[in-house]
Amino acid sequence: MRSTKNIQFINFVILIDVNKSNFEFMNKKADLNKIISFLPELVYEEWAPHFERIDLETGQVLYEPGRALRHLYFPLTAIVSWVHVLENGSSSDVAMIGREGMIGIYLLMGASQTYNSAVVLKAGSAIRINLSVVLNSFNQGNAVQKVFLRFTQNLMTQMSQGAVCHRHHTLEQQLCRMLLMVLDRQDGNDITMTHELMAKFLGVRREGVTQAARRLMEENTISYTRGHVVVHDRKSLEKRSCECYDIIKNDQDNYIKLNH
Amino acid sequence: MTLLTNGIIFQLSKEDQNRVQNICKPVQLFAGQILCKPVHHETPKIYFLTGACVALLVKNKAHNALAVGLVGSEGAIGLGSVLDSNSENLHFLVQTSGSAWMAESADFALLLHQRPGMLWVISQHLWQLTEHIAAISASVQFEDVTTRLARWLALSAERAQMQQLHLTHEHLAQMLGVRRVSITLAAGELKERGLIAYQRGVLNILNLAGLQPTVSSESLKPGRLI
Repeated sequence: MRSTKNIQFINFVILIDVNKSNFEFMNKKADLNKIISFLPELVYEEWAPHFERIDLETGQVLYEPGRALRHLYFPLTAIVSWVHVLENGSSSDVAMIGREGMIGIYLLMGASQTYNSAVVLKAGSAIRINLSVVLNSFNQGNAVQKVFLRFTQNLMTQMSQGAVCHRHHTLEQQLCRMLLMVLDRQDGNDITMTHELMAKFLGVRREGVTQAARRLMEENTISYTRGHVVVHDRKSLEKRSCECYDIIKNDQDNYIKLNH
Repeated sequence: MTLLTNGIIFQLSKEDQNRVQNICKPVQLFAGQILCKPVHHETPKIYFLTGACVALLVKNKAHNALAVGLVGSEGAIGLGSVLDSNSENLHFLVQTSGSAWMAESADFALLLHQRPGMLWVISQHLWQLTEHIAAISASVQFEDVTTRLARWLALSAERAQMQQLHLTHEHLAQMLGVRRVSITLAAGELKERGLIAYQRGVLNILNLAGLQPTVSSESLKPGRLI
């Protein structure tokens, strides 16, 4: 028979353990986002206690023009799309950001607002930190700023290469490129994404994606069931993709190498 | 044009402006010139534009090009090499002849190292450039050639601060990533609407404001770089 005091003690111990493993969990998890892993020791120590691990839903809008951003997001398994809305209302996904990057970087680059939106493309987890913590922390210095600048350059490569891809390459090539980019931002070959979502990212109609995917499916390079694309043959995807994937990937690899 | 007319330099402190001035020398850039080409014996350079306008081009394997941005006196070309991250997919083609101030990338990198505050100004410019590229990338996807041409011409006039532009149909075709005949047709449409005119090979913008609503009302918002 346990007295009430003992039960309270046990609860207290459990609480401590949960917090400790939460922090260890955070430490390990942090390695899964590249930007966080590039942060200098001192900056990381100041930010880490304020990290919150959250789950993001497909379609969730993290920020849009006119809506003040209060957090920075560092995706873990989630993938976020950077969307530019044109005057005629059509929106164009110009880049995708996963565990190699962060959302809200414009606030660290001297811009107070943005003309783009960040919409969750693939549901998953992310680390979130309150903007006030970041802005209040001591002067991070050049080392940190350079990490953000290099990531920005990486974004520019993705967008600019994406533009020429839209203009000059087939939808099948673009689809392969997109699938490869998603694979690079997750573990495993099972991509949770519908044809509609892929079509939206590529800026085409759903039928277009179904058509473009047909050959890939016939060759069993990929298979699609109820909102899941499973990639069976990555090499084949790479062969069918345009040079845009390699260019974007090399740029990303360089950016990661530079920061280590 | 003095170095101070460059938007990035303008935002620096007087001391930092002088430091940059010390490592720069004035140059003339000519339409058609390619900048920052990785040539074996040449060291990387950075250009602070003060009159010249430079298009950011992406080329695919088949050498079809597409412009994803246009930089004028508000910015600089070659910042990538300063950050050690050369986006190898971008080519820099001078669209409008004019002046610039050139420095060795290594000298500027050293300066940035010594004067941390300057990195902030660079960050701001780089972000504006990112948003600019995002806007153009989006328009490539959804807008028709006529709208994109109007957009590019308005942008060119804005950056060059001139309404008379020496832009051939061939050049514009390369910028928009379309065939020359598409430009001729699109230009014809804009001409019919009384927005532009060609006189002796020179493109005159008759109605800049008229081009811009075709572009967007967004472009009239402050800070919007289209």
